[in-house]
Amino acid sequence: MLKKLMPMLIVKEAETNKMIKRMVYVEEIETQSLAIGSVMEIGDVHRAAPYSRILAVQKEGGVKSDVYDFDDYSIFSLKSTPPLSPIQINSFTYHHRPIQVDQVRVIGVSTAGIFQVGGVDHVDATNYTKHFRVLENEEQ
Amino acid sequence: MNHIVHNYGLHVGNIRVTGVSGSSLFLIGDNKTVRLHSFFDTPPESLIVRTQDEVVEEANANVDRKGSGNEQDD
Repeated sequence: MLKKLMPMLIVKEAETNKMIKRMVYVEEIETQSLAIGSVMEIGDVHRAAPYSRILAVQKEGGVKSDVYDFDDYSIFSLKSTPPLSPIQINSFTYHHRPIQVDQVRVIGVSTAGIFQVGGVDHVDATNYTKHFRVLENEEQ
Repeated sequence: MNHIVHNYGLHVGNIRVTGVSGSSLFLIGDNKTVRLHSFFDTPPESLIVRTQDEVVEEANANVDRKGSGNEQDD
């Protein structure tokens, strides 16, 4: 009886030229923090492209209201490698059962990070992080 | 070439993640393509030594020129 029901879930995705995403069941999710261009997504998405630029300054004596320009630091003008050319393979995917997760606990998502429950066609995340320190005196 | 994938049952009990950081991905589900870039720079020589007064002057000059104090990331 079970075998007769199963073909309802089975789809040849190459015939439709569209990705068939599995259903995902998650009983419980706990997330404490989402910061700096991050995403927590429940559901299906076509494309996710989070982007973040960070200057992490440690300054002696504390930071009050400084203004820093990203253009002053060469790391922020670095270019990422161009995408690879797509591989053409006739692929058939048969989804027999959904995904099930009982409990997920994610403490933090940060700096263009993604935490997703569900399907996503394309992900393109970019992050620039530059650390430096500013001291008052060299002798200290 | 014929590439056939059978996704049979997937049941996970418990997942604990401390952090997803620096353009990383934690995905429960299906996907096609993923591109994750991260440029990270924290060398020991990235040390700027200058007096406190100089820094304050620079900051004020920048604020006046742009007319906005919003220096947060986009």
